[in-house]
Amino acid sequence: MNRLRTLLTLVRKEFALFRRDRAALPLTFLIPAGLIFIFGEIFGLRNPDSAPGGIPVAAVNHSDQPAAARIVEALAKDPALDLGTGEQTESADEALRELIRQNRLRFAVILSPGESSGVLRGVHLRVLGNPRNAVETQTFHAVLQRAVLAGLPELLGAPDAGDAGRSTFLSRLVKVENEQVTGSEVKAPSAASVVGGWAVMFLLFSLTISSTSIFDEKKAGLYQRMLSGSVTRSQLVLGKFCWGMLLGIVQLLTLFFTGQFLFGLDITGRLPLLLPVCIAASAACTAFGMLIASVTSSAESARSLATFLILVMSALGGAWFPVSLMPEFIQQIAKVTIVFWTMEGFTGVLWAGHSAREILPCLAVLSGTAIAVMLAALWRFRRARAFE
Amino acid sequence: MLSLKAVTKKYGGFTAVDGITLDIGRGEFFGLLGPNGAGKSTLISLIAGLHTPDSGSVSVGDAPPGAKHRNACHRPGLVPQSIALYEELTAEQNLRFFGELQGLYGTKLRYRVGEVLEAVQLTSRRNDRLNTFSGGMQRRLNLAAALLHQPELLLCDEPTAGVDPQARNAIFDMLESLNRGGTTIIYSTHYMEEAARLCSRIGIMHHGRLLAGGTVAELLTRLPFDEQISFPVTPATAALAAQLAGLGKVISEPEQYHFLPSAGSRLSTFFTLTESHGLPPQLFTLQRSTLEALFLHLTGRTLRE
Repeated sequence: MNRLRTLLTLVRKEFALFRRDRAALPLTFLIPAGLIFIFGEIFGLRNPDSAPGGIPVAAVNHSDQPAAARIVEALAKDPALDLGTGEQTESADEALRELIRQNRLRFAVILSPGESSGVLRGVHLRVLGNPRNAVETQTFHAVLQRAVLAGLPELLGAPDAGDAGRSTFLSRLVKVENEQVTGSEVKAPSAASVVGGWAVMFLLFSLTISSTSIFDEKKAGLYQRMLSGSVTRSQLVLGKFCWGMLLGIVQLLTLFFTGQFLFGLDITGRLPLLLPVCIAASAACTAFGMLIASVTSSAESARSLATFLILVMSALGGAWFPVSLMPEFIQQIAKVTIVFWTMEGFTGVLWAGHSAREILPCLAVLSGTAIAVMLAALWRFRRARAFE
Repeated sequence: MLSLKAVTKKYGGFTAVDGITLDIGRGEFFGLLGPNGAGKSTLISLIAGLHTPDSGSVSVGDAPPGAKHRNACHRPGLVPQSIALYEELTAEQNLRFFGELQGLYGTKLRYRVGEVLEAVQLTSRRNDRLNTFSGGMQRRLNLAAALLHQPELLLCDEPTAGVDPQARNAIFDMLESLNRGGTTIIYSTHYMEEAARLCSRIGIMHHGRLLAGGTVAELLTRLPFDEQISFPVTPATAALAAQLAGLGKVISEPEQYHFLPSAGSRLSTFFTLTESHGLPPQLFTLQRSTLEALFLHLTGRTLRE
């Protein structure tokens, strides 16, 4: 009986400590519940009618064949795509390529008259694309295949149609020509987004943890000692910010060079453009960490809040899977995350081969975010008398 | 050296420092004596320039405290109550870091680091990390870090908290030596013995106010008696305490009564009373007038409360 009582006392002690732990409660219940809700929204689980916003695709039909029209119609109906259509001209091709380079379109389907066959008049299909993400690319090709079968149902009823036979028959009827507009020279197509995605998520984690050292230093009285000397509060904040940026840049470059070593990513050749993105991303992520530290009252609560926000931002911002697969309203929310713009910068440089001018918008957004968030953090630090 | 004029500091509705006026001369060893929560640390942080007063003024030398433009030696050296050093760094790394923040570099920094390590007798441990040090050694290094820039004014906020008597004595010796060398020291403590041993003048603080100030001898003249008698609280002594009220002041604490005889009263009357209550003499402790007794007299509380 006494042993049981001792056991109960020990369990009660654990419960009391758990209840008092500012981080344990949210990490155990609130954050997982919050993430379940957010991921449910991302995948439209609560509202099955809310389809993904779709992969941005253009379809240009130059064929007078009913089959071609049916293919376009099937593409338009598919919720996985966000389809726009247009007239095909010689200049339209180049315009489409430009839209793909600018990342406003991921794929363009161009249907033109094919050669006559004995059974059906064929359709010539050209696909211009930016297969920057493997999931997105596979989804698009699956949808296209389904659309072609919907457009040419005759294919399903074709004679002697074993799989191999059907494929041969299809290629005779529907000629598909693929043109990779961006990233054709990239050695490891998927690695750019995989490495970039994980790099930015861990960048946020490490910089937030670095910022929360403010609480430990304050508790130890270190700021009292520093401020009684020649150091100012602004210098303390700036010192933290500079260290965060340096740590972030080194961390990102280390992870990218690891990607080069493991997957053959071309980092060395793209370094002059990758470095500014890394600097801007590190600045924004450090500012985020400082803001978290400024709005919380202890290291534990800062880490809980940061864990929640980082996981949500990583999911929304495209670090784990393409933003284009999420519902439209989620895609709009994604654009206010640091992760989204960092991923845009990374894929722009490493995949799409963007020029300095083309990555300027990303750099501007990340730098602007860093400045705005840092000013907010400074204001909060001052208001909360964080260093006193 | 230091002048405070009607300084008040509030945190929300709580007044931590309440209208304190104080002048401390160059080379003084001034003690701030008071229980926990009396406002000593807040007063020290006001002098160090970490906080600004809500009203009143503080000046160290000719300038307000915390003026960053001063020469290093004009900036006060602060010994915080906690060990304000980096546990993961070595003794030397800690001192070099704080030395650089005080504007010391190169040969001068190396020289000063060596000198203060020698002064706190930690030269042989200079390359050891702080988390391998004993509590007393950490306290000594905590003091050393405040001495790097050779401050004219040293602010010590309970610098001996949690150390053994031997380490405490080592810190006292160091502070006395510094004071003999001309350093002005403000020393906050709730240990009466520390204040009495070290300080040339003492200010007694309670609830943010400076209740009394002066040398130990001057302060003790404020006591209206030469001795006090303490005895435990029991049902038998309660009746005695009630009768003693006519002979002086009786202060009642949860476990003890303190009887402070009035100037004209005679001890023989007291002992006649105790005998009439059948109380044995071993119950009673006679104490000479002390700072503890003065604090009790001024506040009705002990320093330990």
